[in-house]
Amino acid sequence: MNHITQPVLDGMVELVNIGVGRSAGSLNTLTGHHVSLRVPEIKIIRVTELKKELPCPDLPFTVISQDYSGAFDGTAMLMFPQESAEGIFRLMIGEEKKNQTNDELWQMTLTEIANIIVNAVMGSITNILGKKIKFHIPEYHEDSLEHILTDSRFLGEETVAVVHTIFEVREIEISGKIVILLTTRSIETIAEFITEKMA
Amino acid sequence: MSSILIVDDSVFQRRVVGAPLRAGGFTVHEAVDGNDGLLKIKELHPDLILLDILMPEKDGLQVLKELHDTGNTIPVVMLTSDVQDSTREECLSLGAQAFLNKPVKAEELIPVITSLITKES
Repeated sequence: MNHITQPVLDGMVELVNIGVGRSAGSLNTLTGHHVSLRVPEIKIIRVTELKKELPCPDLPFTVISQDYSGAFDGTAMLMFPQESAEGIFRLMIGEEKKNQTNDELWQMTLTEIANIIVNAVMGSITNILGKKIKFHIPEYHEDSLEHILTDSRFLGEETVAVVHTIFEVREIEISGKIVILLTTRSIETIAEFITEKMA
Repeated sequence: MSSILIVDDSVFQRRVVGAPLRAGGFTVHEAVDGNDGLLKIKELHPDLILLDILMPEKDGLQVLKELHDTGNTIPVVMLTSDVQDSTREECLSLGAQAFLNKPVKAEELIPVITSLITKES
């Protein structure tokens, strides 16, 4: 994947930006607060380097992963630091961090929010590409990243695209990191489309 | 009082969507997945169905196809996170009367529901 040129990579960032913008609108609707976004960064790296790309692999994260298949196959992972997950739950449901009585609601709430964001990002991209993907049921994980990535669908892949996006709801001090992992086939399809557009 | 069946596996969504509908005077029933949805449609005969797509076991598209094949006349509004144009087209071709993306504001959802129920009655 090292042959992807910088202009094509810039094009990929732009596609992701459009999807991220839509997900910001969704978060705004959900929270009633202004959501700011940092420009996404995309790196194409070897899977063996993935751990080094992800923050704090030993701290617990709330991670929702969602597979998709079709024009591209891959997994999107949305990661929340634990504090952010607690803040979002409090904001959405009006309850403090999960306990024995609201554990299901906690998981469902965070999973659904992640589902909305992942769909906004990936769905917007496929609309632009004129492609279609099928989303699969999202999975909730609460673990260290290092452990989660041990079971990653990407272990059989040589390279992977890592898309970093940071969103913040400053008024209520909530921030989250969206990390989207794309398989080689996804990268090739998106890169081909962008190359055609730029020809 | 009009009745609405929300078919969504997410308790969060059923809660978020159901609350403003109840406050708006609708009777709200809930189904936790596609199979449960089909059972409750037969049992309750709601005035309108709010149908999610991505659900375990039987998804919303399968439910929509079954309803389509059995001559359903209850209005179906798809309420999904899937923003793809192709998904919207597929749902509308299978007989869904409206296609809305999550999250949806009550002021957007209620007029759509009211209009469809009024049209059917």
